Amino acid sequence: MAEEPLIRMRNIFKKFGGIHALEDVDFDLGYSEIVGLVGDNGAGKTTLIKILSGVYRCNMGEIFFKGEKVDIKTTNDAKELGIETVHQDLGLVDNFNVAKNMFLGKEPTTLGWLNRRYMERESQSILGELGIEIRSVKLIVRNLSGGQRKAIAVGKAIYSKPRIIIMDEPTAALAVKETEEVLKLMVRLKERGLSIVFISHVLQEIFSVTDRIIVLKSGKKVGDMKAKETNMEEIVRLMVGAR
Amino acid sequence: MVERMGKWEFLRTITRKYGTTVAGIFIFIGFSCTTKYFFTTHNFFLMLKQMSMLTIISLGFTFVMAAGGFDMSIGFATGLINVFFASVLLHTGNLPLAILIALLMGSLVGLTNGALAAYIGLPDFIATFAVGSIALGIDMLFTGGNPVFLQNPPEAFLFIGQGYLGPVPFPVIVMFVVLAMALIVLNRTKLGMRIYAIGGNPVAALYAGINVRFYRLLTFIISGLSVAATSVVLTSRLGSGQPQAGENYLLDAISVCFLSTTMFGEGEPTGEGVFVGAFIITMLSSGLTMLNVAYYFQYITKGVIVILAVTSSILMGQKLQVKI
Repeated sequence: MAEEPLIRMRNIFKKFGGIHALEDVDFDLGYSEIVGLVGDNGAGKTTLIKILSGVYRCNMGEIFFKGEKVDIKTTNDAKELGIETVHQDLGLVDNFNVAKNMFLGKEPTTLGWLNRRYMERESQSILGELGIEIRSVKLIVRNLSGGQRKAIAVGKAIYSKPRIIIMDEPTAALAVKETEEVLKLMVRLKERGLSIVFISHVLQEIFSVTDRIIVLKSGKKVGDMKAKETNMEEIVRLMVGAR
Repeated sequence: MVERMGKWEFLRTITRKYGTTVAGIFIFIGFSCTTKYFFTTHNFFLMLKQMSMLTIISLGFTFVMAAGGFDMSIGFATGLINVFFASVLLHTGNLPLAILIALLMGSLVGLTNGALAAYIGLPDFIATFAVGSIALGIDMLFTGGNPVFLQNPPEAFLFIGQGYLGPVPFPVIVMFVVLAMALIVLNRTKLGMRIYAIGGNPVAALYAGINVRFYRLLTFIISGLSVAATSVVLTSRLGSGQPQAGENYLLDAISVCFLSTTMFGEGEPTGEGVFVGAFIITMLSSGLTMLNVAYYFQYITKGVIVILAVTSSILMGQKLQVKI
């Protein structure tokens, strides 16, 4: 590759007990690029992105950010590089309201005091900007629908103006309209210059927005191709492993 | 998508948030009608005075519980700090020094709990139970089970537990000061928000880049400090160091904190809930005593209350923030 990509992960290994979750996986993410990460359940997709987002540490391997070697030990390390994640389990605190969830970990304070008004005003405007309708940001997250919860998780990731957003199945369990909103949002974010890692089981979604598709199978990378130069049959074949 | 709260949903929310308080008011009215001296200014201040130490120790416990933890060491730690505080006072006569040492001991107990539970990863229940047991052992080793009597204790020392400011007992003032601090920290600061977040969803807290271990350690230290504050007030009230003085606090504080999860919030323990809960528990002791109910029935009552409180939370569809 002539140009150094934004993220370069090399020879990533991760073991859980005796099981190889990832074996010698390489992963690149370019500037303003949406990369689809696909694979069957247990292929290692979530493990890979959790290494990138600082939740797990790999046993072996290297990560380069803009060509410089980085050590992502914690989620804060990742955030400092501008890597935000919408996790599959969303990472919302159920008994908090929307505003508090949006600002968890980056609470606005004046001399240690929470600035609740600011949190409420800002979260309302971010959600509005993303076209997310929620009656009030003071609502307790537990009482919201799956789509609304997901929207809040996405809004939370976008708020800190990251360079990279990792979305682990952001469309799972969403209604058709909500799914379309999320996909449109991804394209808009890309146009703003963000890079996105997009995990999904629905290949139509993957093909509709991604530039490149990476296929994992049993912890190994089995495919890495431009979305335009491949098709669903080929991806499925790689995923299930029929040669 | 816009949802609206139905009538039933509204009623449920009201019952969930204020049901316990209403029950408390009914108990209050009940005792007022059935006993002669319950509904008097004197008894009211007496109850406030009695509940002050329970409230202080429960507020510390609330921090641990709000972060999803549990602290079994508070009872025995109270006894330990109690005798050490009295001894330092006996040998030096220096009250500020004695208070400082009590607070240091409280932090040390909290630090040990936190190191074991939050950093090494022992289950909270086991870690704090063991630390409590060690505290009891040191307490007994040090005193041989005998109280530490104070000859000519300083006036200022006796004032902490026995003094009055106008009609208000000084411990009550201490209680309100600690309550105000707890409410501010829990509800208005980043620290409080993060503590609740860890109790609500530790994984979410981790994703958000919060140092879960460190904050959990802090909650144990806060609990240790509140144990120390309780011990100081208790020692002054008793006028001596009693090795077994704190034993009842564990059960009572657990009752209070579980009661507090049924009030005001979304299933998390709250400072205001602790205040109401401590009042209910104290009121029951007072009223039942006046009704000449034998003291062992009070233990039965407290046990039943914990069961009722937790059951009602579960039936209301709440997720308790505590895992033991």
